[in-house]
Amino acid sequence: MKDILKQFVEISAPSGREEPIQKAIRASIQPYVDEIRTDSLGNLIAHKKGNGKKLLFDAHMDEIGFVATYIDDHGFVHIEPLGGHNPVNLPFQRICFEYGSKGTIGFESEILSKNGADRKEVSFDTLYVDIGARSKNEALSKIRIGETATYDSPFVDLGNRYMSKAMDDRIACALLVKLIQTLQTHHHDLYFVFATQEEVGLVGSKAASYGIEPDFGIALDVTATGFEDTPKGLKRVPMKLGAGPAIKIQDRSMIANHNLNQWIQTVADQNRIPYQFEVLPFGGTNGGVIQTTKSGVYTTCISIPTRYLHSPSEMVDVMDVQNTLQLVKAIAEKEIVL
Amino acid sequence: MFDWEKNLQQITDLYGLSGEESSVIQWIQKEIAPFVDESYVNTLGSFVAIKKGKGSQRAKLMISTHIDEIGFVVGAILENGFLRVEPRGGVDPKILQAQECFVRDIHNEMIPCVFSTVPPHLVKPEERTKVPSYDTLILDTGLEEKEVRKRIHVGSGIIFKSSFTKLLSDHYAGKTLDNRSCAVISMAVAHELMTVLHDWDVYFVFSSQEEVGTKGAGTSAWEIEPNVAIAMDVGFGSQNGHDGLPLGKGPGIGIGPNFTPKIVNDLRECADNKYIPFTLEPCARPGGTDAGSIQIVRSGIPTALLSLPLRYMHTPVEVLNLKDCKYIVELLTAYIKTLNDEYLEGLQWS
Amino acid sequence: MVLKELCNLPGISGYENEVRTFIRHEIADFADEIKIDCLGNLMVKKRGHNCSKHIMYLAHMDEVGLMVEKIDSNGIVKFSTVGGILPSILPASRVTIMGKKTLQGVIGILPIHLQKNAIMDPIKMDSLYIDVGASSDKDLQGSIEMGDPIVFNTAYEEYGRLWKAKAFDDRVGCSIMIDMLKQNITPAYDTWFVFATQEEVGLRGSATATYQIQPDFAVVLEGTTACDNPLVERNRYTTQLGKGPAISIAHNGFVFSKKIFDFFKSVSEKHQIPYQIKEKVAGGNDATNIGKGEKGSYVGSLSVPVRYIHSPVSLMHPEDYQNTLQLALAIYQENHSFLTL
Repeated sequence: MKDILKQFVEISAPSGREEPIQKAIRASIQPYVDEIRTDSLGNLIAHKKGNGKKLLFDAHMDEIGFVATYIDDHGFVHIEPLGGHNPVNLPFQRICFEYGSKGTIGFESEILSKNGADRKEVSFDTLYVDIGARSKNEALSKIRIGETATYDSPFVDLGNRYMSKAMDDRIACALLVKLIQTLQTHHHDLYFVFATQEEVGLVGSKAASYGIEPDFGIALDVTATGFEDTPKGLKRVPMKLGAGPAIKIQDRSMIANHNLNQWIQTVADQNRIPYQFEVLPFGGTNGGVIQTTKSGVYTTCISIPTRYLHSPSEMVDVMDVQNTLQLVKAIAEKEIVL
Repeated sequence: MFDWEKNLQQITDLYGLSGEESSVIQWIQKEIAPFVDESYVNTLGSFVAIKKGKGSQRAKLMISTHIDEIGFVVGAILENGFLRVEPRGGVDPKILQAQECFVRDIHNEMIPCVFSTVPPHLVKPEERTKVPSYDTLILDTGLEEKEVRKRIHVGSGIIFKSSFTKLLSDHYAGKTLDNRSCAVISMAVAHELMTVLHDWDVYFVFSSQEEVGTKGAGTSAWEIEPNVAIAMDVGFGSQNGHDGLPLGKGPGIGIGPNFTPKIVNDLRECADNKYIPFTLEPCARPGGTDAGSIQIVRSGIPTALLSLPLRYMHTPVEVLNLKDCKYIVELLTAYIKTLNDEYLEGLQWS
Repeated sequence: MVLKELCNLPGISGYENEVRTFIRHEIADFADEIKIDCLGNLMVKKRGHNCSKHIMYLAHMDEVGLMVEKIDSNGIVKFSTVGGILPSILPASRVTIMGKKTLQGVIGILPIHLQKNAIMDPIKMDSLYIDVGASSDKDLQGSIEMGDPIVFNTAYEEYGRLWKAKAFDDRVGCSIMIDMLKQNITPAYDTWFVFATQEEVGLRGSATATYQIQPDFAVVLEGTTACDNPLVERNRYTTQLGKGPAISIAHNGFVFSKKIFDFFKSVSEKHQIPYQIKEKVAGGNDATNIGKGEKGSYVGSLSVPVRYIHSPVSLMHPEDYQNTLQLALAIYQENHSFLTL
């Protein structure tokens, strides 16, 4: 599990540029599935045939990132966000471009000196990337406009916790890969969607789900932790690391199906897998678009609690990862009865 | 006789947060059964009741009214069993202090509770001008923490507690008149159709999850593929500080890009013929009601919107005028009578 | 116990009639003398073994509420507050207007969708109004008029292990005094039980009652604020539910005598009745008037902790009721020992 995870999170593949991760996932599951294809949006769709109804598992392959849009006369690279970034978190982070150039996100000192550090001034208009180029020409020789970038932040094993960029949502990709590799028996006709462009608006999953028309949908994604996890954590967020996978109740994209949740709770209880409930005041997952596919799909989401979301140091708990794998495995083996 | 008061009272008392509408559906199913030919619940938890018509083309009119209500879910259980909440749907945090609610426990029992307040004696001057937020609002059930943790968990649903009350001159106040009042109007139309000859099949859709993104209506329309759809929802009534739809002066008829001009015109004509008052309600932007998602299902569905004027929307003291409900029944019945085989052809753009 | 019935009765300051009539009826069989004074105080005498000193127990009958200030031509009812009520607790609440006719109404607010500055603008009192469903002021002629009292529309109910009602402040004190009278104890000294009016608008009833009785020893029975919830700093709790009657050290404008404070503590310790000390001096009650009235008097305040007072919904703990009643009864039976100290 750790090896797959390390491999996946260290691949750079922001929204819309998922091919590297898509290839890695494909290579690790191809022998274990009946069919595998990539659709026009880049979604990787694997099929493990079964006699029951269609059950779709979804994890998104993309990560948040940046795109180079302009190189100024000093050779600084100006970037725009791909997915949800809070610019305040960005100054002095290292990033790596699609073709290997590295740099750090710089930020005008004049802005810092104004009232000490007026963080409100920090925006993609005032940030730039310094790739060490002495001139515009040097920069242009290293970077092409339109080249994407992601955090330059490798996987770290902290003992009981793992830390890296792109845990969101490669942790779920790794879980699904592990599930596919180890699943012995299953009832349902299983579809695994490794979706693209989640971070820019649940794009890939919507199309994939439309094509598959599943009866049940389960999105696997990460979720935030709050006041019970870190001292000044968000008051409105109850989730914490180490308390097991989070069964989604609601977020901005979806009210998860009540009956499906209850069934999953029963499965977890039977297998003595700890779990927590997720109520998230912000954000959404692919569950939101799977749910409203055509005439509707019984949908929920299982989340891996993750600290410092959308930062270069997203952190998950090893036990949570193991318990989530146990849970999705138990789900995949059984027949869903609502 | 259709018993408006009883029906409104009963339907608004029920628990039915967005995504958890089953008690409301059970009640409607029982009450509407004598008036319709068949019914079912679909995947996203909307309830569909069908009144068959006599026509040969089996054309379908869908009347969509959402039955979910706004409220909260438990966001966290705090010391001494106090509950932090997270809204489901748009609830104004300013109205919540000292407001009574019910939280539903794991056995579906309703536990009364109240949003806590700090009494004036202890409020600091700077707190007087602070607008309450979901960080500072908590619920008190009066139960001990042990018991709270046994019966309630993160995600347990919470609704307003509010009894349906008669005010003066046909006005009524209550919670979730948005939009259960329109569901009762749909039932009254079904009741009316028992004694009316009509060609088209009428699909009464009691849709789920409107308050969290009009989800039930869109998926139901996908499944039903109606020829014409009319969404019925509450609209902003005239009240102190807002010049909206006047109460007691008939429904609002939506006009704008979300609505098919021919249907709008036909509804207006029906109203004029029957001397039913109405107010035109310009909606410059599609969305917000079931009509928003129905219109763009599959290859598109001719859609219109009827609005029931409502004051104090999204509070536990929403106010409607019963006359408006009755006007809508009359208008819809008249419109349904005009639906025949030729009507379909008239819907084509020239 | 008649707490439930008492709380359900309407009775804002100056309009305590229904409460008074109810109490008078309840205690008629246990009174040696009943007086109602000019301010509407109900004064009930229990003759003692000795008439050389006068003892007084006092609770106020009135509750906070609203009053019709103006009826607009569009039928909207504007109101003013009677007693301390924050504007923030009023929107979307239900009220009953006690006019010639009794009308139900709701306090309106602009829907959240239509508010331009929803997150920024606090609720202002002058933007609030009551909707009774009238289309114009003509609809209301003969039903309600300016000055009619308005009460919160809240019925007594059990809430988990707690009780819920409006007006625990101070019907709980009234109820305890009724229970004390019903014990039919002959006290050591002549004792007056005063059900006072107009506390919430400036401690007015108790002033005239004190003048008439000139007590040597008095106890005020109150419902006091309990702010024991996790969002409030611990030092603002004031009192906590379930920890017994609250004994006051001081409140706004008055410091209780050390003698009284020690006496209350010793009685509760002797009878093993739990008590707590009121931890804030915020708020005041009739004890101020009594303590500094006329020649001055020994006065103490025993309070039942009540959450969310001065709002439509308040909560209290049944055990606090029982313990406050027990302590009040013990003081009632032993106050001669205090006076001979």
